[in-house]
Amino acid sequence: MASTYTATSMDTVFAANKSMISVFNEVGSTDVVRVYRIWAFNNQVTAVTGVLTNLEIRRLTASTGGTTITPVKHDTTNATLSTVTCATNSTVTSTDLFRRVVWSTDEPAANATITLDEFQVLMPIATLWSQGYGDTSVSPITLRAGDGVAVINTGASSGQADFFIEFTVGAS
Amino acid sequence: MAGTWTLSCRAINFNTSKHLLSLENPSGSGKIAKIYKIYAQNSAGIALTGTQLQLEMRKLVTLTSVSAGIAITPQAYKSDNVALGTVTGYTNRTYTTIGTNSLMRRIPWSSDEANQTTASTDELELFLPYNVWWDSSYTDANCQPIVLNANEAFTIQQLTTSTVGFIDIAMEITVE
Repeated sequence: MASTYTATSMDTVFAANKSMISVFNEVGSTDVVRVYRIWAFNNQVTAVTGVLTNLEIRRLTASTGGTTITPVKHDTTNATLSTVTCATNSTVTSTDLFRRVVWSTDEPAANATITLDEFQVLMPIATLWSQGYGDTSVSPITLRAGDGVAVINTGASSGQADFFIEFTVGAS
Repeated sequence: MAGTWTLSCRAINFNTSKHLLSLENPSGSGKIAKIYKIYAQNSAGIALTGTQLQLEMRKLVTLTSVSAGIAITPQAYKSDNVALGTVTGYTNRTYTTIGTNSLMRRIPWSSDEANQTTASTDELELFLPYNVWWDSSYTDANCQPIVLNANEAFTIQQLTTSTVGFIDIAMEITVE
């Protein structure tokens, strides 16, 4: 079982072409990072005039700046990461597209007719990426030195959301 | 196969900053507790005016300034499981020291009551597949569950201000 971490970015404000959350394995790192699951939750509790946008999961070849995120260790005996950087709003160079989902930035209501944003509070729908289907012949997104992955918002500039990335770090 | 238990609490009433359900592995326990799954269900059985809540799942790496609450004994899947020792569940526990870098997930939740005639967020909170908040036992042995070494705890805390509504929460855990 590999050392596992969860990176979290709460109340992440939407902006055009923004990296909402990213994990980057720095150049020169001897670690191998594997991204298993990614979630986005519509966790807004105040009214906002939302719009539709796209969230893209993309591979990165560079990620600098932004606000650094310290990932939570699933086991406190796991090593503290020194060459793996998690961030929100970092400046990224993105390449391959793994997935694109449509997202509503409107706020969910506690007791109203279900629209898109009310579905975005439910776990299966909030799961944007999952390797958890038990097929060991399928690789997770694997980040060698100089690789990263990010959830990038391509459109909206209203509203906010919570983002989570679960990943493992190992020597091979 | 490790000894497995379910820690569950029914009809937990919401309250501001309340720790709805917690699992503690006290200092010196000699045990390691692992959380594999967490489930929830809307259990408001009476009409009320609910609000949209945020429920935070946090790992506490030092058990200091802990007090009060109602202890809950987890239920063993096998009657001959090894002893839990001092590993204990609580509802309405108080943790003065939360610590930084502890947040693992935040769940949006409607505290309105579900009924049989309409469909809104709270009705969807009755369906188990929608409400598995944490699921590490997805047959991928590469990923760790939430591991609680001695002197660590895991808690689900209400973040938003509200005293309305009820929820059932359960955690599936192993103790070694």
